[in-house]
Amino acid sequence: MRKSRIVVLMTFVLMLVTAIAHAQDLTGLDIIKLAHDVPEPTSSSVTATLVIHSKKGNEKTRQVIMKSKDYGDVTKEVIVFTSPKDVSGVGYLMFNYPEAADGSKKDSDNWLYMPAMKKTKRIAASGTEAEGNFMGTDFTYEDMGERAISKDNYTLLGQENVDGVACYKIRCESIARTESDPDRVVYIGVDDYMLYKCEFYDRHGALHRVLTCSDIEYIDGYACTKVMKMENVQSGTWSMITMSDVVYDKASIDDSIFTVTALEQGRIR
Amino acid sequence: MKRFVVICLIALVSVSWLFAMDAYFSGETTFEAIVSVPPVEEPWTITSADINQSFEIDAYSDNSSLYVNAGFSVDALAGKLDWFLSEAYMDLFIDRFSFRFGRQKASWGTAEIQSAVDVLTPTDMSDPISMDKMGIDSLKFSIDAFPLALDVYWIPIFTPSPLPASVAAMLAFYGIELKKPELKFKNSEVGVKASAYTSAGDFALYGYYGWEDTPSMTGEYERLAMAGGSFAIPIGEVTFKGEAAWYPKRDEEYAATFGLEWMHGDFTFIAEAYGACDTQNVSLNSQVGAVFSYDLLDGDLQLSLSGIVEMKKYDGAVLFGADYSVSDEMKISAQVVYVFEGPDEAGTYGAYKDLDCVKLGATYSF
Repeated sequence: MRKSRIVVLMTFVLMLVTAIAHAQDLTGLDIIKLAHDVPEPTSSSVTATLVIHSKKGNEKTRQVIMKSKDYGDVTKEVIVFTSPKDVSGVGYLMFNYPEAADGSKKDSDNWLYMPAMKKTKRIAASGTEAEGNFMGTDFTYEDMGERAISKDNYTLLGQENVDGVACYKIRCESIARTESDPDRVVYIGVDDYMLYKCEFYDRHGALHRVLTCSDIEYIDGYACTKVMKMENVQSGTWSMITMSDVVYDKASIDDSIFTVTALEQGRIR
Repeated sequence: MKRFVVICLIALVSVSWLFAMDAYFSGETTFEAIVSVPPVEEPWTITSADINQSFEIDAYSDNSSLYVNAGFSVDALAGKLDWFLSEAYMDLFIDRFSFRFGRQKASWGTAEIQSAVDVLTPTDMSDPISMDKMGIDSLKFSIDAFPLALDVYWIPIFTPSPLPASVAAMLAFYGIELKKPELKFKNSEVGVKASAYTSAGDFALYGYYGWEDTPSMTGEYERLAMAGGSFAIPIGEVTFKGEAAWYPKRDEEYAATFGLEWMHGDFTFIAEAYGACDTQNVSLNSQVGAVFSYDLLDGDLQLSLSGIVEMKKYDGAVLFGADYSVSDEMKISAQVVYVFEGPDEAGTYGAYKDLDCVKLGATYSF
């Protein structure tokens, strides 16, 4: 009896030591790469509800349909507002190009359809990208996409729990230093390498925004963050994006919806 | 009796079809009042007060959709009620091909202020401030072969531009009757647009054969033909835009617009120059315009300042606008319009100098 207890105890200690040793082996960059390599669907369709909370406590709600498809050399994405009435039917079509081996990146192609004017406008890439607000929320367009790994230096600061989930805490420092929030501290799940929290620091080193991710569910084998809340601690505003009707890798996400004509015809439902 | 049965059958089929689709109903109630301001002869007079109620049906199934926008407006000053059918069309999608039947609106070209190619859909000139588009009763056939696209319009029923009150009054004064083209197949209008959407930019070619939207001094609507093209090329934060057109049946035979649009954060700036000339390259019309708009309060408040100057007589107009979203459903707006004459002659815009006004509006959406 005593022998078996000792075996169990030794096995537990060995596992713990192995785990600690494994964690110590990983660098911040390794963890970011593992998080980057979490399998993602080739195509997706979601209905997103955006709640925009002002400093005075007023709330605005926007509902959008978002569809995307990765073609390897380009990721096509279409976003159409379904409510409220004054923006219903407004749609964005975006073609995003991956980062080249030398770190360069081709500008995205962007179109904006305005049903009131019956017109599709070609938008300059920089007008929508990077640090512009995503649909009036506290999120930026860059927050909604995937940041290139080569843009930052990474330092593993240790481990910390976020809402009871063990996470790696990593400091990401922008190499270019041109962003309004050049430094971030990200919290990556130890078990699933998903993002649970991110703190954004401005050029003066002051905390600017805090992103918290929750309700992570597995749909068709892919992890999906269903709730994302971005709080601007400097302005006192916050925005929350809640995903519903999530569909991954289904034939219903037709290639023909990623066109200007489909945007104008209101075919994205 | 036979006609009644046919109408009932069509209504029954339409309602059954509508309920077989996913259908959404919405609408807007709009109140607008216009108050004249100095230096007009009678300032601080309410010249217009309208209540506009529109209803929308948006229904769709896998391969078809239906859209209707109709309603009524009340002219509170004249006590007049008018019904309108702004748009009512059905779409049918078959793979890369699609058809749109019914009353529909469309916009051609890339210009925001003065277009050289946008002749397909007439403008409501009875409201020179809004200049809304009119729906055309037509059939549109489209091929979507992205990055290429083709739209062909067949417009069997002619839709004229409603004229400004002063022009309509002048025609009536001289006893000039408007003579619209007869409803005949040979009088149909045809429009074609071929587009290419590339990473370098968007490019389009246009062709149109139909009728002028406004009558000549004899009250007749003249034949109109147009061949043109447009581009929109994004470079950095700026999109460069241009249009050029050839009108073989007009005095102003050639027209072109060039400009740029710069979007930076919540700020947008648009600048355009328009010119039209005859075969001897004599400039008949040239204008420059600009629009600044800025979003404040997280997009709840939008301020805009726009202006246009006619470069031969130096007359023009300036418009300052403010739109504020009280809530997702409620929006209020105010516009100040100032029209100025040229130093020597009134000019095209100067003719509307009595239009100086403040326009107040409120819209409730449901």
